[in-house]
Amino acid sequence: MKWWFAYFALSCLPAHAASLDVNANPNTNLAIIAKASAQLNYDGTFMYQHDGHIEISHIAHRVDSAGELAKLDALSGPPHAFVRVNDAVYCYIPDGNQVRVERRPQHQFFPQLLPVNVNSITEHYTVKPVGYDTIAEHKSIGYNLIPNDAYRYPYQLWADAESGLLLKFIRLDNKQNIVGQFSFSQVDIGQAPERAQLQSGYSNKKQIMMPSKETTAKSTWRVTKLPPGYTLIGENQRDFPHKKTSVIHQVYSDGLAIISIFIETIPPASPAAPQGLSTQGIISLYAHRIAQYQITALGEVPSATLLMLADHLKQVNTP
Amino acid sequence: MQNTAQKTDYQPLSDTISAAVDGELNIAEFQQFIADYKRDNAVQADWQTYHTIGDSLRKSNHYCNLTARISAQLAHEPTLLAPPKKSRIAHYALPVAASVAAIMFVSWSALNLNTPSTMTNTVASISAPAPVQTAQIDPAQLNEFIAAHRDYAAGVNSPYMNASYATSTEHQQ
Repeated sequence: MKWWFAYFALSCLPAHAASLDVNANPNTNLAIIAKASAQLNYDGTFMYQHDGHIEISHIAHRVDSAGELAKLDALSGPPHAFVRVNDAVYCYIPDGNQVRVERRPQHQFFPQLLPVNVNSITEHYTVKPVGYDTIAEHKSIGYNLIPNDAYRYPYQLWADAESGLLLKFIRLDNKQNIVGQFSFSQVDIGQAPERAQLQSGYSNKKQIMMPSKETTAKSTWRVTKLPPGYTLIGENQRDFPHKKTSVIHQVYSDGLAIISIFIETIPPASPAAPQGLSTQGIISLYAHRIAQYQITALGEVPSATLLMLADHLKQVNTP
Repeated sequence: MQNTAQKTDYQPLSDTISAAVDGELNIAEFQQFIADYKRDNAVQADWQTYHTIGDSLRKSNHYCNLTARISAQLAHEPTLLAPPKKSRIAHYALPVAASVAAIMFVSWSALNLNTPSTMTNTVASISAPAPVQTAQIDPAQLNEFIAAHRDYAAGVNSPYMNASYATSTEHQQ
């Protein structure tokens, strides 16, 4: 009878649930952690501390036969919510009796910060175990992700030892200072939040669909030599309120770090465009000019990465 | 800091803060708590203390007072800004985090572009004795770029900053 019960209990667990062992291959554990945040049910409150701000959000994540459902509620700042149904992300912003709804491009939420395929990470970062700790009342296992070259910053992550769910994610700079930290203050793992909990919560307001600010477009601009591990993950054209012409926005990533490059035509007889490097907190920025185009590259990466991307950005004949 | 003038009768009790730390408040209570947190330094200090207590109870070695340290560093940052244009911001939505970026600027130094010191430190390039040409990206425009970047990057979840919120954050800073 006991064995039957144990078998029953085990079969109720999702097939991927695997406990992490500090002695196991770190890369194998990282792969488990990367999958856990997409495959588990969870419901919790997390804080994001960065640049002297603390943002508090509530996340509910449910996986069922219909796929993946997630809802993020902002508990600090102006009220708004994100609802994600598989790959579609909608943002709800209440405004009086109305709620503005906007379809978003891919938008990452904590704890889904790792790419499902972790090879891009393990090739360019060394994964080193840190040990055990307790985070949000869960026994957790920690890993440092140490970059193998100068094109990225280190990270530290902590995951629930039982389920593999990411509980804490720390961004560091190259002097090992903490520059940003996501961490659950409380989380229930394994129990599916009710479907009703994952609705926007604004059904009593009139919904106004907002037009998308960007259109998918393929330009002739290409980076001929990318820093190791980085790939182009998205490209679109976007209108900005202060610009007469639309701007090309390219997004590059190594799986963790994300870089944006903006390419815009400089209007004739405009004042000298800014040029050069700048950093603010963990964001680096590089602006320069190619012929009549102004290039602005920015991201949470070392300046060297932006320089390499921007310096190898060229217009090619075939898109 | 104009908000300090409008004190309400509500005083968060220690168990409210404790419940907030434990994530046990409902959304309405939490929003009230956040309002108090923003207004009252004592609440902010208590919040930190409760986390320190919680972390030491859990024997966590990884706690650090990020807020204090970053604030201290920010306090030492030189202010290099012209006041941001406000007129048009009101019409457009911007992410909250972008306000941080309003103090970014771009400096250019032909001599030092490839040396590590200017790559990591804008202050160094500004105070360098060599003639340095500086130009400034319009902060509103930079905020829009960072907003677009945030659509892809994890982190700041606030999608929009409406006019009233923009005003209130400016008062607080």
